[in-house]
Amino acid sequence: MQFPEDQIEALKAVIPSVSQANEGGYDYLLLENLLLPDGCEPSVVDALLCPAPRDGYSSRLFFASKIAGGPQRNWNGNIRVLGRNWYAISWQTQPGLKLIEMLMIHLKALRQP
Amino acid sequence: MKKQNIKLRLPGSLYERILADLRRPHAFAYERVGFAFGSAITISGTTTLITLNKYQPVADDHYIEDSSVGAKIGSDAIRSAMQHVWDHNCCAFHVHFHNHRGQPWPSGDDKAGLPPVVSSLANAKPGQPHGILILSKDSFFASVQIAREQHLLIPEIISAVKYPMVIQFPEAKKPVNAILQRQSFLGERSTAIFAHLRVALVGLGGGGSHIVQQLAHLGVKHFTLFDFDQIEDSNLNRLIGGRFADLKGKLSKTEIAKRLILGINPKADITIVNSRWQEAPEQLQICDVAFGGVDTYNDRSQLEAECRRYLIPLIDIGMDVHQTKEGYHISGQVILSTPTQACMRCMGFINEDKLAKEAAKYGNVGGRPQVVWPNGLLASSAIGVFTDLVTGWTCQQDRLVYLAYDGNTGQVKDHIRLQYLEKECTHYSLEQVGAPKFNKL
Repeated sequence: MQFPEDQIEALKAVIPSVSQANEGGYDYLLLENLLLPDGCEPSVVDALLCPAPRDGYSSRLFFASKIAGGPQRNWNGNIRVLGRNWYAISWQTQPGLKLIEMLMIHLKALRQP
Repeated sequence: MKKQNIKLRLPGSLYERILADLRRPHAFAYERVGFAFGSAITISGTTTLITLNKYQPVADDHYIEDSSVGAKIGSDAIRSAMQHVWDHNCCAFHVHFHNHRGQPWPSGDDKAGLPPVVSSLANAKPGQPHGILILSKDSFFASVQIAREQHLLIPEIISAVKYPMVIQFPEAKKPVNAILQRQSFLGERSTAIFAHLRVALVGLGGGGSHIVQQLAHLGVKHFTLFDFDQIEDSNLNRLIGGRFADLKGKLSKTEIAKRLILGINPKADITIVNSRWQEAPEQLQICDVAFGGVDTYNDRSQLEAECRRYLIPLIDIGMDVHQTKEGYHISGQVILSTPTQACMRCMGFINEDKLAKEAAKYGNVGGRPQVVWPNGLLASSAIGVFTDLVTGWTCQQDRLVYLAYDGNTGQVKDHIRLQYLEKECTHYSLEQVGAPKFNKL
């Protein structure tokens, strides 16, 4: 899948290292060294964004490790995607968002109120 | 230094393409040559798993006329292969064809001429394994140069992953096995094949426990057993090998399966993983065939993706009991997911709707109804699929397997979706074989 150039550029303004791969018909964006909201531990982590509907979610953000320091969330671990184990929380986004909007809404789930 | 083992796998679609290409006549060369490319991972420091996913024929004008050898290729051909290795940081194999049945062996010319080609490939990327692959009509020969090894090594197993599989491994002598003499109709190599393959069982509950028992009876010797669970009261209605006394000590399902296997074959080699397979993925990648007896579509989807990436045929079984207005209805399935052929999504067995409904029910599944006999029937059907897949005894070719079970009538038949199915998978491409590769944006 070809993502709109302007959306990729907007994403790269926040996180410079973005790469793409497909598995099982889903396109994923690997976001290396993603800076997480204040208080998160670890504060920097690799993440994998699936911008299309998957498992009942409009989009999903997977983290390379479980994140502590944010609000209490229901974490699922050891989700195998593209040869790595990932962690994710149950967090819905609305359809039709741009990539950067998606990412920000997912990160909002880790922000202390 | 520890002995290095090599497993070499190529998908069926690539195998067929290579065979078709190498059988084409050339204007003056007696035989054709190509290069196959792929990736490799090292498992536990001692096993190199090579998966091939690309083929490049030698161009017609890159052959040199020389009637003293079957085919002579020029430096342009080798340079082109080296360039590919350099550009893609991949491994490469010089491939040619010997037009006969049975295992091919390198000729005198092959022994003299091909190692320097392998050395050239290794010069392009020394860290990658490179080698020679010779195909015959129904077998292989390969030798591989890996880093830190002085000599070319013979793989412990080479397989073309298709239906039926083409499997080659070093055979010292035909094993005599009185226990298995009644199943000799499965083919003269069947006993050796069963004894050589490593089979993964992911999930050792109602279905997996039947499967493991039958595999042991069949003569399978190398098992890798994955299950994080221990026996509990409600399992005893269907867990084959489970005993009342096991409840007290909460024996793990893997230990129960191990005891079951060793009771049939005390010499079996069993690896136990008391966790989800995702926590020890290399133990799955090393297996030649996998059985899935997992509970959810999500688990199936993850298992299928990993198996396809490392070219492992996956045989999935499952059953469910549904309550309708008319009463209870038992259904189930046996699916063979062969890499590059139709996957469980192509078959409509896994889809977004099912995954979404399952995710919505997360944590609220409860104890689902289960009974012993549908698991036994589905497991037996799965063992039948496995046996034909690895021995080819029925002579069926390119079979797609999606068996639907109606537990109320006791019927097992081909699922109707098979009639409308494309053989090629639209979800998992050849590019997705081997360790994942990301494109920088």
